[in-house]
Amino acid sequence: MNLEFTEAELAFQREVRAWFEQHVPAALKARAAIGVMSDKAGQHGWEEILGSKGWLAVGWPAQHGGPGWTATQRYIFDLERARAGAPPATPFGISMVGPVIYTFGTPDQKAQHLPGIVNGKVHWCQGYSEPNSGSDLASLKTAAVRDGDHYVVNGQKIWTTQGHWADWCFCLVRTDSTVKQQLGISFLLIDMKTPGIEIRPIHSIDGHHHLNEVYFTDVRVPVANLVGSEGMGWTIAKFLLTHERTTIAGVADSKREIERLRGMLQATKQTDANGKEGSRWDDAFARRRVAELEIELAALEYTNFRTVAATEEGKPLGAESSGLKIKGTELQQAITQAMVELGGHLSLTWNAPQPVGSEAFNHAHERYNFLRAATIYGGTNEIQKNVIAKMLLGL
Amino acid sequence: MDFRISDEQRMLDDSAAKFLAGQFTFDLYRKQLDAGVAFDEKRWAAIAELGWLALPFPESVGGFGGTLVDIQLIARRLGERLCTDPWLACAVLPGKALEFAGAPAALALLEKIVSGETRAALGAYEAASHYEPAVIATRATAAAAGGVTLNGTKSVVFGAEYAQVYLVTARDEKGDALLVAVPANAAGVSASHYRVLDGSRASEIMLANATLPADAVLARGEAALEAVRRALDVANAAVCADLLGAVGAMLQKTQDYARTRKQFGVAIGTFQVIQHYLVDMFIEVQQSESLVWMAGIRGDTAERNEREKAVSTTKAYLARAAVQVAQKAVQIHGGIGVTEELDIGHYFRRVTHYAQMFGDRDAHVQRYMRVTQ
Repeated sequence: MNLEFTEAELAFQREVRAWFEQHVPAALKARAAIGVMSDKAGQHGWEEILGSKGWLAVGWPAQHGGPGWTATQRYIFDLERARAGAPPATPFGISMVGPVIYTFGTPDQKAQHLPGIVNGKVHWCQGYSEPNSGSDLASLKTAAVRDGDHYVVNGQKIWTTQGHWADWCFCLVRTDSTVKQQLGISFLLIDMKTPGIEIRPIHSIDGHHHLNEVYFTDVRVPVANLVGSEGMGWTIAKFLLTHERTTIAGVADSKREIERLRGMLQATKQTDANGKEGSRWDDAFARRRVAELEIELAALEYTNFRTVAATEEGKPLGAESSGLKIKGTELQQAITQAMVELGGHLSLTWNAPQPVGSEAFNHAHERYNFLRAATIYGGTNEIQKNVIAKMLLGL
Repeated sequence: MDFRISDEQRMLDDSAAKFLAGQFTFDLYRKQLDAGVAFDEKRWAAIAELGWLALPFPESVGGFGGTLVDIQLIARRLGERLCTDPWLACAVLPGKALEFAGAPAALALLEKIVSGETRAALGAYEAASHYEPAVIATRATAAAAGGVTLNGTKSVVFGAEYAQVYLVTARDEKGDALLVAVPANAAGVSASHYRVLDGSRASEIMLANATLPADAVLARGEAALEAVRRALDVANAAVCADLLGAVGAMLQKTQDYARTRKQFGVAIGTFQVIQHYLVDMFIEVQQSESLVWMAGIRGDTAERNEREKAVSTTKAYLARAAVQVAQKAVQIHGGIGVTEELDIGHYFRRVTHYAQMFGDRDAHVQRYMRVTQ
């Protein structure tokens, strides 16, 4: 048993840290320092910088444009990325449709779509959920009816993150209503500029626009955009769920955020009841809260290490890594909650004209309100527990 | 980064599992409990035969030079089998205090523990010291020829009933801490023995003008305190492994129960609430295991800050997580979960006991804060 990085891994860490120091735009670092999410230009600009270095599609095999890193290297990269104040890459192209296309796609589909994902210039969104099909995704109704060389798509998707920023959408559509639900679903790639697509914004409680409704009215999609064969959509969607688990726990960002919370407490003035001037860090209850978050993080971090190590030995853990999504998102919520609560009144301001006491605390409710969705998206934590229970009990 | 154990460790672990499965059944545990006993001379000899007395200690004293992880592998199996034999209390903990004290008299006594000739028990606490080894009311006054006379009571000394020697802490007239070896049958030494929560035994050791020779003083001052602290950190790493074994067993038994117990015509494991409880338990056991090995590796050091951070992180986490798993296990068993007749309730008591022996969550969160803030 050995918990240290190898010499080669440490050298890799130094290389990556130095590169991040040079290349993360100051504007991105400034936003990360106060807990404000990137805007479109910031996020996409950053992904192009990573893409031009060949460090965007980090989990991809070398033959498809990935850097050929081990699971440990990918973990180190993510750690350094978060430490440097850079946001994680948008997952839809890199972690979702890209692996689908290089696994199930035709040579033409690979040639058409993979380069734009790898270099960060083409942006994707995910058309899965519908108003009546969230956890019960298999009940989806958006239909794709064959008409000559096209599918004609009619229906509505919802919770489409960055649909308003996307060039393409990968969509689960119903091509057969006569068979068992899962067997009638297909995986279709849709150009967001196709006539008949209407995007309506959904405003989130964090004050920002991430989510959308996407309406499809007689949208004609070339048959060549079908991935796999008709009826393979559910199989492909399940493949996505088991793919690439090394960052699902969000260890790197949680580690960075707890350190940022420490800094926020140390930098925010507090005068005690006796008139002694100090900082929020003088409050032992605040410090205890930070300690307890760090202890929770350690448990998650070392469980994540075990997953990474097992992946490298060729043995991905089963139910064990599903627990990482549950625990990882709960920790994200605990950290952001602590940030809001420990700021007192300073955490209640909403776009005040000047910073009040601590700009970071002033913005704390944004990440907190946004991350209420963490236990809901990617398969609600309750559904995750159903899945794990089935693995444990076989009932 | 590699979490696999070596082939040698696998053999150690397998043989411990096999030995305990055969030698320490729930039935035997119940019989001992009812008899007010937590020790068996023949089984102690078998443990010595297995090498468990030698494993934790350096070769220079006749040991096998095992690591903290090796100790944890045995401890995990002890917890898994509800074993109350005082290996931790009478060999590992006092032995480590002697090893870390390091003086010739200490190492000579350690050799006797390793060989099985002697069992010891560490009396590092008093009723008012609440986990803090530096809080010592027991007084040592100077006696003839460099000896000491001890007065005071060491409290809740685990395993003392089966020990021939007590290692006790006292403060001398200058205020220095001392670690003193006190034979159980020495003049002025008496003990009252009682059961503790996990079904094992502990004692009050009363010292009334107990005079010991100079060579009974094994360590002084900061060296004495550090030897005790470091030994307690080893013990805590083992305690965490024991907790892991116990909750692992509780989880397995509860899964089996949920699969087989039927109500309303179906297995209760089909009810979503029960399923989610089991998943919560499973996740806590997985995360606990990760930290147990972290403590075994990062806590195995003389460097105090690194050791205390690793051990306190782990104990603070396990003290919450293991207790939650144990509570849910009892809950899912329903009425039978609170009976003496079923093993689950006994595991429950063991988990409560181990979660606070040598420091509870609060104590370890606070120590974590002292080290990292």
